[in-house]
Amino acid sequence: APPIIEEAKAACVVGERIDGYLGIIDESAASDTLRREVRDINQKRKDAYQQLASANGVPVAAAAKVTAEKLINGAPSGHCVQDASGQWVKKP
Amino acid sequence: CATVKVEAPDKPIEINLNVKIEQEVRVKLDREVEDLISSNPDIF
Amino acid sequence: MAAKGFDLLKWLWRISAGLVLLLIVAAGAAYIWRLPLAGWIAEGQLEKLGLEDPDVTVTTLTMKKAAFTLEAPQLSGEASVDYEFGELWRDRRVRDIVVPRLEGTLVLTETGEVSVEGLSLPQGDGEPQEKSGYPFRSLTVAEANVALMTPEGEGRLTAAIAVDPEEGGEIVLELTGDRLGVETLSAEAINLSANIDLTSDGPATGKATLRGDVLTAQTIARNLDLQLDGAAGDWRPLLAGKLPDSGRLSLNISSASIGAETTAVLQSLADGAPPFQTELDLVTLTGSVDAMIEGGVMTARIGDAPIEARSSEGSFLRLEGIEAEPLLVLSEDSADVAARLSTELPQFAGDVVLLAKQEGTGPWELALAGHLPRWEIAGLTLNADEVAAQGSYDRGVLTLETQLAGRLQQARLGALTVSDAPIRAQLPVRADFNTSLFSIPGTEDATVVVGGAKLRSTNGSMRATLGPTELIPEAGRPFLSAALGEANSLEGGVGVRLSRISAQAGETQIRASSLRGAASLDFDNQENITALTMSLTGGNGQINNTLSLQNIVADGQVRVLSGDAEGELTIKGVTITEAREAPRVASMKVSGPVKLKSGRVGFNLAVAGPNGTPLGTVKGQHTLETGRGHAEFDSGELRFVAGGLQPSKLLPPLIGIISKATGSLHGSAVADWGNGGLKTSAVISPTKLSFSGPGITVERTSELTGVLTFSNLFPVTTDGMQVIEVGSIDFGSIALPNGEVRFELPGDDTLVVEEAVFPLFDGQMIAEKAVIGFDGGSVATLRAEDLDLGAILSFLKVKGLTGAGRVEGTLPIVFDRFAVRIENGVLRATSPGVIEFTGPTAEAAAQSNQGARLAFDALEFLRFSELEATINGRLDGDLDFKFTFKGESEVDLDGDGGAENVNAPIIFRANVEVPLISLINQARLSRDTRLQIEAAREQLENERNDPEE
Repeated sequence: APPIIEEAKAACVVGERIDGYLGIIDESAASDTLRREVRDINQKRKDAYQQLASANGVPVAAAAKVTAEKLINGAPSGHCVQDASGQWVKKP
Repeated sequence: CATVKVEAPDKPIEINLNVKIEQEVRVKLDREVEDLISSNPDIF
Repeated sequence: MAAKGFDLLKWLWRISAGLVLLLIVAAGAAYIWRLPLAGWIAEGQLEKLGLEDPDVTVTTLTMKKAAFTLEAPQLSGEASVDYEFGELWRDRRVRDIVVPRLEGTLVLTETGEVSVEGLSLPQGDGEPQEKSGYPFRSLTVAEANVALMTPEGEGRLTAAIAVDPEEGGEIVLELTGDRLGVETLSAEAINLSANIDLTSDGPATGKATLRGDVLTAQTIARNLDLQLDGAAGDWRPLLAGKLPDSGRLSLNISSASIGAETTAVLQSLADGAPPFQTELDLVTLTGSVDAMIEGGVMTARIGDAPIEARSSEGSFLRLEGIEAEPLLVLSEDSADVAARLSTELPQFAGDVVLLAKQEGTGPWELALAGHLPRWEIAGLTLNADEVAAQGSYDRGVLTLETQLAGRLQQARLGALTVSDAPIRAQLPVRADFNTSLFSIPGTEDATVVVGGAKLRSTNGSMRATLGPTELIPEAGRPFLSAALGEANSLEGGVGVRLSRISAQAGETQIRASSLRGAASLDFDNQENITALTMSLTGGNGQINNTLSLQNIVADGQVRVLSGDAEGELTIKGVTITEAREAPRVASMKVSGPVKLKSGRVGFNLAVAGPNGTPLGTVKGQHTLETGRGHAEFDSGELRFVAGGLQPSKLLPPLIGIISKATGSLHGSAVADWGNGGLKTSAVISPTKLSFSGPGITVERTSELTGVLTFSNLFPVTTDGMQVIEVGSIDFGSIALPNGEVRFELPGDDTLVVEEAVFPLFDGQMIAEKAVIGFDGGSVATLRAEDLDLGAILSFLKVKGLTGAGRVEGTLPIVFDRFAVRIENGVLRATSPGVIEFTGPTAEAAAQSNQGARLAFDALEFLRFSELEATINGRLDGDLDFKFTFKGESEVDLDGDGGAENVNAPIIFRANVEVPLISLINQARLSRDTRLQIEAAREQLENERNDPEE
């Protein structure tokens, strides 16, 4: 992902959600440019999930959910991710 | 043979039916998701 | 420049020489007396010499002595001569001549020749006489009283002379006169007293003091108090009327006040010095000069006090020598000056070392170097920390190759005043005093590097600061030229390589930096106009910290007139972006004409996207003073293509909201800005505009068409209710087709749907008064009216599951930024209908067991009186449909497919959960479904065995 996103992730301003999209954790620290970048990436992810879902006959949300699990598991320590209940937690 | 006259019982028969149309097992997606993530580094 | 000063010395020298000549005449007269015919012959001789009827009475005539008196209109007196007759006869030599009394008239001609009136002096043959060869042994004139006739007036000369060619002697003389001298040099109320010692071994020393007023053609030196102290190498040639070829003269001016109009010394310096005007009222002159004459070469040095001219209000000019160097070396055919000039004048302060050399009457070769904290030339006020120049001064024309490092403190260049500009320059400077024209001609090798400068228009309406700038004089065009002494005659032109400029006019500020390209500055102080012509091929800038400009390519000219500025600029290309962290309008490339007239900038520009796709035109104007302006943008037909022009490329705030747009749009917008605010409005007319989004909650919005008017773009606000036709809004699993939406954007980041009607399932989906926050977290309730159950069931695509009937209900839609969900959507049948579930899926389900068989038998054709469907779940994922219905069906009780069917009333509750996507064709029953069917079967059998226990 572009540096602005990586930095935001490292600073727990942005994190991976359980629905497969990027979420803004700390609204106050998110600049307009960062918000636009997050929106842009989420739209592109949705596009990717749609293609994956239709190729595999699963609902888009399902495809997104599975990807989310991988992304959350793969997130480096220090990054913040959503737990099953949707709470933001910092990876140990 | 005797015809048994079946009459509609006076009390309506109650039938409860749950039909759940399940999805395919999703295990298959694992590999595709790995490919998806690796082939789109700029959005994942 | 010292030449003129030297004339004074030459004149004084000539006068004293003339006096000595007179003495010779007296001696000569005695010599003639030797002739035996005494007075008469003498008278004859004298007459021959032009003396009118001389009356000579010889008082004594002996072998040893003769004494006589001479009376003639021009010359009279007594004399006595001792001689030794033999010497007199043989060598015509006498011993001692004593002249107790002598009166006569001396005539000084315009060209400086001295002659006794009516007497032509025996011109010395110029050869120094041998000491012994003199006609007399000693000459003593007790009191000579001579009238000095000069073209300017008469003076009286008294002299006492005692000369012995062997032993030397002494001459004391005094010259007084109300007014005398020649036209170019005269004196008034003059008192010159001198005494000269003629030493025996040759050198003659003399002291003289001169008081009075000396006048030259250009100046008057009032109450001059001058001391002369001189020595001649060998005085004897003097007697032969030839200037001594060596000698020493020191001149000390203890005071002299020079008249108002012009000043002798300053004017003489002005002639040769860099151009400046001296209107000093009264200047006192002091200083002393020692001059040595050796072998026809005079070497002058500053004496113990430097020559200084000081005005009453503190201005001064001081002339000093340089260390051991002589101030002036004057020979027959060359002059050499080495002086330190320090001055404090209104226009010229500092000190300069000047070396000047002249060969014959050729040009003066000059070299000067110094430090001038204040130097005003031609309207420019310079502070030259270091200045050096080499060049020549020839017949009134001074050309100097000048190197200057310092600071231009102030200069008016046309209608712009330039101030505090550090400057390093290498320039050819030319001052022609005949035409009084000062100019810096344009030559290639001239360089002027300016560290920066402040500019201000004369009426103060505009100010600018320049970064480091290089001025490039152009060949064939004078960089600067001005009439000496008239600052507003300054004009010129120069190439300019700007780097940075920041200009402010009223409320408008423009900054530009890393400028590339060529520019030239032309100015004319008379016309009070400055023109900056430029052709920029690069550079960045900012306007009022709101618009930033990148790679400016433009040609044009801005003229600053005394009133204000005007100009034309043809922008070939410039990329404009909002100077904000996250620009609201994407960067645009604009090109076209811009006009500046009476403080207003008018523009009519073509607008294109960064990669050049034409977007439309923008025209309007901006008033510099108030900083207010108006602009109208018209887009023409914008065609969106995936991968090409996109809305988010025009309006970055749409990034991640609208993407992969197709279709077209026409937009026109109006913007008004001023005192910090920006008001915008727009009319946007999409035609079949489709895009993915908005956001990720809607998969695709297609074919929007309508005319939307916005009262503000930032934040986006519609002008009240707007109507738009919508091809479809596709949430992924469900799409609302061909709707018409009446909506409003109040500008508070919400979308207010007044009413939206979508035909769906042969009925209508209606949204009313829904407020949807851009950031989600809001609920809108869709009302379903008169939907056809058959259409819904076929939409579910459950094979073999069909039905008929009309349903209605409400579907609460919950939006958040990431998903759209229906929560507790309820649809109820508004009239009895039929459900049929046949076909392979049903057969497969029925096979599992008897119960299922019965249940699906019932479902094969079930007439329901009541049906309720609840819908829950994400529109892009698991959307659960649950149907419950009550109704009758025919059930084959005995289960053997017998022909006989008994129509048994059944209450049938079925929960059919359908994940709403295309997986249906791989549908299979889940495990728990079988359990439920068995339960239903057992219940049926219980009913049958003992219908009523």
